[in-house]
Amino acid sequence: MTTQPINLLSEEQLAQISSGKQWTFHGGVHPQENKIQSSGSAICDAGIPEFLVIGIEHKGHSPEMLVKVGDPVLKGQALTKVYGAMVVQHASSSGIVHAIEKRTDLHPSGLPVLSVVIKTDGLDRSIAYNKPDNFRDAPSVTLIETIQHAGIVGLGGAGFPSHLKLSHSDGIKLLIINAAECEPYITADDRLMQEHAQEIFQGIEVLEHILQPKLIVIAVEDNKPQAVEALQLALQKMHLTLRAELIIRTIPTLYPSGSEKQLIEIITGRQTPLGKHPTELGIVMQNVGTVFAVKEAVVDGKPLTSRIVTLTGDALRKKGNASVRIGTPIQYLLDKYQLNSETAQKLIIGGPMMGFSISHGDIPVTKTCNCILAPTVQEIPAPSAEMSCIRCGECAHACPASLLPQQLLWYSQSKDHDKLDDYNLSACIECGACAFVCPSNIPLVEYYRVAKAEINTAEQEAKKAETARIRHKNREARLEQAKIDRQAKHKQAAEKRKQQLKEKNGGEDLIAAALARAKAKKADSAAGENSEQADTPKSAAAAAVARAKAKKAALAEAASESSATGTADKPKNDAVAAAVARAKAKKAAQAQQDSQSDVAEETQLDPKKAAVAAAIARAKAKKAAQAQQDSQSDIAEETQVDPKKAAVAAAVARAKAKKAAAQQNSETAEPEEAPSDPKKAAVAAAVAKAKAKKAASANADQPDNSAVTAAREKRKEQARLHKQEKQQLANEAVKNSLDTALDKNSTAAEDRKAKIAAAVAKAKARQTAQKDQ
Amino acid sequence: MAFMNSSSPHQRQRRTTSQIMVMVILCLIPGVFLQSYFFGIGNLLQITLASVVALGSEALILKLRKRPVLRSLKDGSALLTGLLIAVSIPPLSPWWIVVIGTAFAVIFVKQLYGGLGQNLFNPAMAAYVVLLISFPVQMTSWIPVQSLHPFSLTFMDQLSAFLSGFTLDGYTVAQLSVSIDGLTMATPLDTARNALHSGFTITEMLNSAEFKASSAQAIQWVNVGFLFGGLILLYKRIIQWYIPAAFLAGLVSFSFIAFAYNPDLNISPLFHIFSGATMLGAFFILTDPVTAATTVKGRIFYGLLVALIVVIIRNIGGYPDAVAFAVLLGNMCVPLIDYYTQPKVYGGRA
Amino acid sequence: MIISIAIAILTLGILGALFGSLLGYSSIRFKVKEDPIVEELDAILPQTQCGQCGYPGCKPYAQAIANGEEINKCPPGGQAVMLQLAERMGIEPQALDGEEKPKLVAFIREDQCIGCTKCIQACPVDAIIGSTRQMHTVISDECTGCELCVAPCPTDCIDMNPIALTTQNWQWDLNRIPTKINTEL
Repeated sequence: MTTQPINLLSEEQLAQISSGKQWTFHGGVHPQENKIQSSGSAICDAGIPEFLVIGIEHKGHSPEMLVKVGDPVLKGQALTKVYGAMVVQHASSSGIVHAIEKRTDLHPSGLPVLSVVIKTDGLDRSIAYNKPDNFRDAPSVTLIETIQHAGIVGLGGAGFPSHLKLSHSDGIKLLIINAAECEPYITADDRLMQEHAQEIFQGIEVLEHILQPKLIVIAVEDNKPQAVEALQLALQKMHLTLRAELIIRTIPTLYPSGSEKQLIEIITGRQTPLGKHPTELGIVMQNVGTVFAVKEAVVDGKPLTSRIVTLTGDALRKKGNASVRIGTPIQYLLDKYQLNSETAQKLIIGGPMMGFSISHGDIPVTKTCNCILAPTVQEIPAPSAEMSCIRCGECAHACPASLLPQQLLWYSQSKDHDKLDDYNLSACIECGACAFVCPSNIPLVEYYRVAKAEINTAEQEAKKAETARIRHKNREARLEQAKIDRQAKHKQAAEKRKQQLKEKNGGEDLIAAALARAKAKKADSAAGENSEQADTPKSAAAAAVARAKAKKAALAEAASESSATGTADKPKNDAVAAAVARAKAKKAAQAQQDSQSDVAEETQLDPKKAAVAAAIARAKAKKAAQAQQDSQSDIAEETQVDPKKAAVAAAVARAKAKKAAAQQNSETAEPEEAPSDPKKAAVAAAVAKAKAKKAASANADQPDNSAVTAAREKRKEQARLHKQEKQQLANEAVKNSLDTALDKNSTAAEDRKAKIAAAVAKAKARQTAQKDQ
Repeated sequence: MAFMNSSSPHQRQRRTTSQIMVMVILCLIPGVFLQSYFFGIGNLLQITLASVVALGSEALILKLRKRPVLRSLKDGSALLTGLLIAVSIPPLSPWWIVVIGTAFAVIFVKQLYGGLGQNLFNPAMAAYVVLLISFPVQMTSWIPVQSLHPFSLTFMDQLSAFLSGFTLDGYTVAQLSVSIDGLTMATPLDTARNALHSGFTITEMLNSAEFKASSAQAIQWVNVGFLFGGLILLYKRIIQWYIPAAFLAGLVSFSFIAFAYNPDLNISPLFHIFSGATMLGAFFILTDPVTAATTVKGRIFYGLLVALIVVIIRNIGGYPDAVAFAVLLGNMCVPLIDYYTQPKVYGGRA
Repeated sequence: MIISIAIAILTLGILGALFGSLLGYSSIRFKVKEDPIVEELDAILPQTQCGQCGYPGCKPYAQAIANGEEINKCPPGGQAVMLQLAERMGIEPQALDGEEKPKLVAFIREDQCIGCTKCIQACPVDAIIGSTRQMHTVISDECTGCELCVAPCPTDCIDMNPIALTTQNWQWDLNRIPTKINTEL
């Protein structure tokens, strides 16, 4: 990140700050504090639950695991490797890895994430923490790495990985320790400062060493006098060796003073530019709980395995702060703090202003969970019905980001993303001050969150579309290039051949000679029909005619059908017909398979044969159909009969061919040596299908060394053996059916069959046509 | 057990839209009381009828629009609209005036724009203007202060005038507004206008019999009553000070400019402040959040703009009082004002 | 008389020549190389490259729309894209031809894949990787859900799955939070 020196705090500003000047931010509200309920008692250990559920997924990314199901783990043992900027997750007590699976995350959505479930043994044995050497001798990079490996994230609630905040340490002028704790009810930081003030200062020493700021400010709201006192007492007792000046600053209680940007404005009077980080101003802010965790990690070598959670709300009979192991199910805590299930109506994670509700207690405590609030209906009533906005402007008055919440509401409702951007929705910190003051009970923040999620999704989609567009373009270009290359290669090869021939013939132009010879021949014979060369184009023409006929037949069918349905258009009907035909073919294939499998069962053969047989059957059917097409077209040309008839005939012929094939199958059911698992059978079937297709287009097979080569060879032989027989059969069938077709035509059932047959024939014809191309 | 899901913030300040409306209605009481003290209980009759019509037409339209009726009625906005119309019209104007006005305000100006919060114009003022233009005689027939009455009006007289247009003795309201001296009664602003048009100076006008006979003093007292109510609203933080302060300051300074330019032809700032609907407008009408500007700068500008229009109309225009027209003209400018007075976003572009 | 007529003709002639040359110059100076509307239309289209519109990709369809093709032939874009196209083209919205489906992503059941590379050749955005006789897989982040790979597969092992709801793409739908309690603990 490039820090622009223009934006950095100047020396005069720092001097102003240390002289005791304070600023204020726009707006803000005074919700009822409700901190006394939980601030009175000391932090206690929440105990070890039977299961710990530690989520390891972050934003859809799962890091590499270091443990597997059944592994014993110790407290503080790393569960994951470092993955990108993600922090490492640790086991928070000793036990055995019970499962690694998706479990509900502590997230407003209640959706599951990949988690490690540890069945604890109750012994709470920990790994041997190796106490590092004096951190002052270590370079800051090493310390930042230590912090990442200790799994430390912002414990104030946002959960931003702390090492990322610390790694932009160039030109940092001011370190602010955020102990404002402006949310009502929460007292976790308050108690932490009262009980662990010395450790907090040790943590500050570590951060000072990493960041080298000129000034350090600990900001505490003036509703926590004991905490301030404890800090001052500790400061007197300790002999800190700080190079920077340290100030403990009490700020007036005003929600949301604990929000990063608002606190920066209170302390420095400067606003962080939109879309920029405070590092731009030379400021780093850390939550006081994070500072404590940093001390534990860097000075004691302990990773973050527990955090302080405030348990409060009138629905809990016991209230207070507890040191909770990460992964402890909330239900365990609710039981321990005696939740009165009659009066409890909702569970809020975090404070009443920004916290989210969860729908059940089987969700683990995570590193960002600073408070579990179980209020009664009297304390926090259910939200009352939303009324129309009367544009009173209270929300704009309360907004700490100086936004116009009414306008944002209006455009959120109409999903006008451009306008939302104009009115700087992205600057909204979702503090809830606007909804707090709204007399019409409009859940403004909820609208903004939805709009933000929508904008985010739209952006993602736009990004994805752009990538897709580029990838498609690149692919097209690549294919085009490949085509050009291929042509060039062919040309080159032709040239080469020409050259070789020339050399071989002693420099004589062979083509010229050939031309001369041809001329001579022409002169010689009156008729231009010289056997072989003329034959090939002729047969090709015949094939083309046949294909055309088949197509025409299909079209005619489609037309008749469309005239019947009246509304549907042609290609659609075509598609329908094709689909029906496919379905029929599948059914037929299945039927065959069934019959074959019967045979197989009888003869105690392995399932592979069935698949092979099916493939053979399909291949045969295809061939038969092709044969029919050829003969069909011949006949059609000769007798000028209706293409419909031809199709009918083809269908009958195909059925016959199938029957014949089925017979053959039962005959040729020989034992074959092959692997017997179903996957291989599928492979064989697919290969067989592909081969059959290839055979139909008279292409030479590539030599193949796989396990299925033998089978394929056999099938090929069989195919060759029965080719003539089938063709004969087919020809006969066509001739027979031609007579009967006229009568049978009349019945609807036959008509349909004919259609299907035609569609199949058409599909086949197309396939061959494609192959030819 | 399963818990309820809801969105943050879970805690809320407990002041609702209905409470705001009720507070505003309560703060109207001092002004209304003084009005009936000076002009008889006619305005109470107007208020009663206006309330009934306002609630009735609101309920009707909500039903037709298939919206929850009871919940919207409870917000009190329709009631407030009715009250404001009732206190603005002459106390003894016939009943159908207030019925037409209130129904027009609720149905056309408010509900047809989409209901509470959606209307562009202040319903009470739009209705007032419609009435003034449609029924100029009834809308300008202010009876004299009771002490100056040639006849003493009983409650039954007033009720009869309200219902039929005639007192029990068969006088019309227009006849009633002729005072003991046989001079036609008018509001002080009317008197001033007429005097100026007839070529008198302000000083002459102030000393004239007409003016002395007019209800100048009474109207001043009524204004004081509304000022008192408005100050309570400010104290209770129901309204913010930007609009009233800007409006009154604007009124004083703009009228002072005119007065300083020619004191003989322009009425004094003090006269401006305590006549007509100045105080009612400053605290109860201009501050209607729906139709006023919403940004801080915008509100100040809006107050000043309305003040300017009021002074211009009162001093130069063809109508004696100007608050209603000025408010409507101000309402029209609100979207523009709001657009150009957006606050600077935290850390953002200007 | 003649002089005044001549003056009029001359004036008009000069004016005509002046503006003509101005127009001519600006047509060269401000020449737009490619019709920008095609680019804009292409930007609106969802870039699935699925060919459901009957054109071999989104760009060709954008070109076709610019030439007067119907705007309702993009089912993956759905109603939203159709409306945007209508707005951009300044024409009336049309009913969508085909039904709007939720966004899908292809998934290869890998135990059934035989490594035939047919789907790789079919994929318009190169989102399938694998080589002959090796199992293939879909890069789901790149997959546009066009379904073009489904038909060529000889073993029918490609599924089109709806995109899973995660905490990243969750839209704050508070009314549909799963309330089921995991009692397995």
